[in-house]
Amino acid sequence: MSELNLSSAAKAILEAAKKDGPSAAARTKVWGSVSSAMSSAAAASGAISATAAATGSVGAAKMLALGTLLGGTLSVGVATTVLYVGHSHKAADVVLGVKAAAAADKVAREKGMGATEAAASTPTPTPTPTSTATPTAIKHALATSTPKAPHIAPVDGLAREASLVADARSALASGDPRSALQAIHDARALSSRQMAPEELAVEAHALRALGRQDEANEADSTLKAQFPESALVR
Amino acid sequence: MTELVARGHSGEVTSPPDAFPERTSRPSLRGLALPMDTEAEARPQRFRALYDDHIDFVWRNLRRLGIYESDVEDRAQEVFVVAHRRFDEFEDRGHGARAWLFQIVLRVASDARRHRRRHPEVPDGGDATERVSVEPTQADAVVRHQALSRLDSALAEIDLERRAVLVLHEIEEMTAPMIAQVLTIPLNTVYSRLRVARVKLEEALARQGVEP
Repeated sequence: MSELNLSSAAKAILEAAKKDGPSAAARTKVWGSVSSAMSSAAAASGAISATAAATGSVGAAKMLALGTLLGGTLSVGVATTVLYVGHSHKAADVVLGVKAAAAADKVAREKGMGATEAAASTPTPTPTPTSTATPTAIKHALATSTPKAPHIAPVDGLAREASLVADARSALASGDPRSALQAIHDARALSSRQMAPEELAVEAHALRALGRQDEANEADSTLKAQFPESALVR
Repeated sequence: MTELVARGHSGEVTSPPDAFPERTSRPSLRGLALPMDTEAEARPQRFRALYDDHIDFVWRNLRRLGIYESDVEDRAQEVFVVAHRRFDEFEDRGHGARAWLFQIVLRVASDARRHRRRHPEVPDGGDATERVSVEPTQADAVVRHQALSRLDSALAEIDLERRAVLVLHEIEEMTAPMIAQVLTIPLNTVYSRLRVARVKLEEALARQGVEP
């Protein structure tokens, strides 16, 4: 390689560049944004895992529900057993399972499934093993007890919180600020929370949509005061 | 080529000359021997240490690779978000942190340039008002500000591939073999790009009235 030494002026300029870097404030600000993005990614990941688990269970549930229709007495026995197992799960799991079953029904309708399979998604013809169990509950019980299903429950707190915040955002987007507020309140009732900034931001929007301007401003102020580095403040 | 030997880095970055694959096992950034129960629990602390040690490195290289001052915070964030996503991969491979981060920086800078071409906007002219991690005297700050503005203007005239080599060698003090590894290019290409980049830098500075 042929040599080319830089001039002293160029060297001096390059030397100055070696000490370049962000100010202390910028350094803190960037970390705040990074950590906020990391939290959101972790929450989304948790929610996706839960959804994946639920989706897997739904497939298994549909197959077993079909068996229920075709198998008569045997299926009733299976459902009864499974219901017993299903009762041991937490309430949150039941909610998730019900949502999963509802989603499965929707998919079935959208895909225009055949009569037999569609019937499996339809509540009325399903044999009822106990006087109080609903078809949806059976479906959920089947879903939660399916051995191959990667186990809907227990949904960890973060995934639950992420799910509630997502629900709140959806409600807000669909013009239902009351439901959004309710979801945020539910999220706040969780024992451990990691999405407080997101909750405050959604709450402020929901309150504003309801015309509760003062409370919305208060939520905004709390967000700014408690999480000044959050990207949501900007 | 005598200039392309490793020189001690006198900058503020506290990490050792970790520009290079010098590790074979899990890193102990900043000598963190954490009394944690599991590796997973210590991960956030290791990542935070990586950030603290390398934010200056990332920041100044984004600037030297053409990211405007107004955009550099967002791009630095982007670099570290990508780094976080790939942190396990980084730890498993045992690459040097600077080498690995520079690859991400280069990609982010390259994407930003493409974005700017599609959505042109008025550059900030290399304004350096938000910079400077240490607090120099007022006069020093002005001099440095001017120097950095001139440098960025001059670097803007050099294509990104050559500029990356120049920056890594002249500012980050990496050796040619190190640069070849970081950029995954042949050693001779490093030499040739550096040679051309130096010529272009001198020419650009001369056009700005900087006397040799």
